[in-house]
Amino acid sequence: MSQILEIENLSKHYPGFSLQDVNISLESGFIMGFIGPNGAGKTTTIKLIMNLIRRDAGSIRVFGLDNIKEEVQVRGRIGFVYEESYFYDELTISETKRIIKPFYKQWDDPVFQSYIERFELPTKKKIKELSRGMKMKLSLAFALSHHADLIIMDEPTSGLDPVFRSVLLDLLAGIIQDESKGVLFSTHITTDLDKIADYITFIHKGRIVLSAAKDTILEQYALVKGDNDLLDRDLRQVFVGLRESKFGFVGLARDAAEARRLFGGRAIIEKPTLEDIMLFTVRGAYCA
Amino acid sequence: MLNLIVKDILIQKKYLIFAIFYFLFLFFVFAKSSFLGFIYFFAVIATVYMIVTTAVDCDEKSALLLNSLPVKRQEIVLAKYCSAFVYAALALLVIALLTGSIFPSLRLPITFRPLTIGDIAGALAGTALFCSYYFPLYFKLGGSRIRYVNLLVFISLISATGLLVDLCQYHPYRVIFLLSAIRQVPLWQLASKITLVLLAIFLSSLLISLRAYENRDL
Amino acid sequence: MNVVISNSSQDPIYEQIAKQIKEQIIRGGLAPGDALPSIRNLARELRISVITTKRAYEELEKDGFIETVGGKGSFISGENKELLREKRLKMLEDKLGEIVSESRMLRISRDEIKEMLDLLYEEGEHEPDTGD
Repeated sequence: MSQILEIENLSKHYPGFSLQDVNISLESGFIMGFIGPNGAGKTTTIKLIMNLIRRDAGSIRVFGLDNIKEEVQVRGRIGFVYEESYFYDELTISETKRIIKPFYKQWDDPVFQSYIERFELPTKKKIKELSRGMKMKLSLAFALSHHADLIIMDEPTSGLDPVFRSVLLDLLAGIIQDESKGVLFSTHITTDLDKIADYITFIHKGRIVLSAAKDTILEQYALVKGDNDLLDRDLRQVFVGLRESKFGFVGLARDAAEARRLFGGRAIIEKPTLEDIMLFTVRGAYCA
Repeated sequence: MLNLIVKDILIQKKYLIFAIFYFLFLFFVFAKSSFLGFIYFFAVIATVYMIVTTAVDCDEKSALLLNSLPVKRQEIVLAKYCSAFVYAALALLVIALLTGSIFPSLRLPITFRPLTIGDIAGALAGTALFCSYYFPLYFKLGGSRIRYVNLLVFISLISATGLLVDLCQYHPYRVIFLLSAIRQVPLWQLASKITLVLLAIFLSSLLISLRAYENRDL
Repeated sequence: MNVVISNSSQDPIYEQIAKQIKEQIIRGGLAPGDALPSIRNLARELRISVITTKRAYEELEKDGFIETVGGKGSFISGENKELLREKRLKMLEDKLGEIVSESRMLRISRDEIKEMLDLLYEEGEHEPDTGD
């Protein structure tokens, strides 16, 4: 197993927003979930990997190759799915395939056909006549039909129903059976990742908040729910974020063992979800 | 790179068919006029202009797709320049066919003169000139903003023609002087000088486009 | 092999998996030499991270319940007879405990139970031994 993606000290500056010192690494054979609120920098990072925008500092290596110097080779092995459909509205699926196919050396037509059939996509219809879900499925079909080793997806499931999201996750789990492949999946719908992701990178305001194995993260933090009178100044320090209401508090403690020691027996201590971690980190302390 | 040119043609199939009719229209409208000499040149340029400026993939979405594919930006730029010439060549081919075999065999009451080297040279020069100003702007500004440029150019062309007409009307002597001066220079000298200038302009335009697109954030 | 994961349990998922596999080994549902699904396969079926299944298998291997052969996969270990025996003895004890409480409820005396036991043993002698 090798490093499929290595991002070091990546930076990109815009007038209103900066991506700073981003470090991410992903080994092949795993799925990495890339989470963060809207505007956190997920799409910017992905665009930097694909070299759609120029980086200001840092390095990005994909399959061990520099993503700028060897951009053609690198992109030839990446399957991408973006949030918005980017196909030509006036063309049909077949015509679109005829345009895209020649660019990929490892294009596999039978595989593409099988996905088209599996997703029940109408090949003779124009792109503009397809529903949002179908367009996403089409993007996926293209991404998976040229033996790509890295699948990059930028918010592919926003706007899609839970049924299809479930289908997509199964598909990704199937891809990762091959240990030489990797998946980078950015989303703000963290429930998808709660189960299937191996690693999680959480980005907020252009900086990486955490990047580690999902299990480790979920075991390290703890959700504590208890009465308001349990809190005092010292105990509040334990929490990354705290939501206080008239009837009690819910807090995310950074150290589960410590939380159990301090609150065990007096409050409810649960395993957090990724959404809890994201929410409490972003909102900090607030009153409900 | 061939992929890219083929792609451009495939996505504009409908426009190309329209272009053919546009072409024929120009022919039959201007058949009787004394401008026939210029019509070939004009028709080719107008067609290339029309096809390129109404390109379907001007928008940001398509740029995103194209640049995510395993292709270099340099290739994209070069392919755009080449495709303009491809359209010009196709247009010239159509003219050659029409005037060479189709129209004569139809025994039309009007006669069309055949295609000459001068026509070809003129058409290519015109295309090169068009590319030279259009593409650097296209690659620098992006598809959506280029439309404003097109509008501007259109307006200035009309005003320029107006100015030209004024020039001929009110200052005929200057025009005659200029024309006779040009006449005196041997053709090959004129042609080579113009070619060199055009080549210089074209190459600098290419370099500017390449540079502009390399640095563009999508 | 059956593995069911509970999201509401306090135990980490890898522990739940390891426990359930251990129990099945002890109960005999999984025999020594049986092949376990690959960690990736299991992860896919359970819809969880492959890191989790890897950890579960590592736990089981640490405790000697399974062996992993590189390139081939993981198999139930045949070497833990002592441990298995102990666990099965415990289960036997539990069953005896059940018999005792049941006989108390039915008001059967200890001697009557011993008689029943003797009868069963005698019957058993006439049958071929199916011992381990």
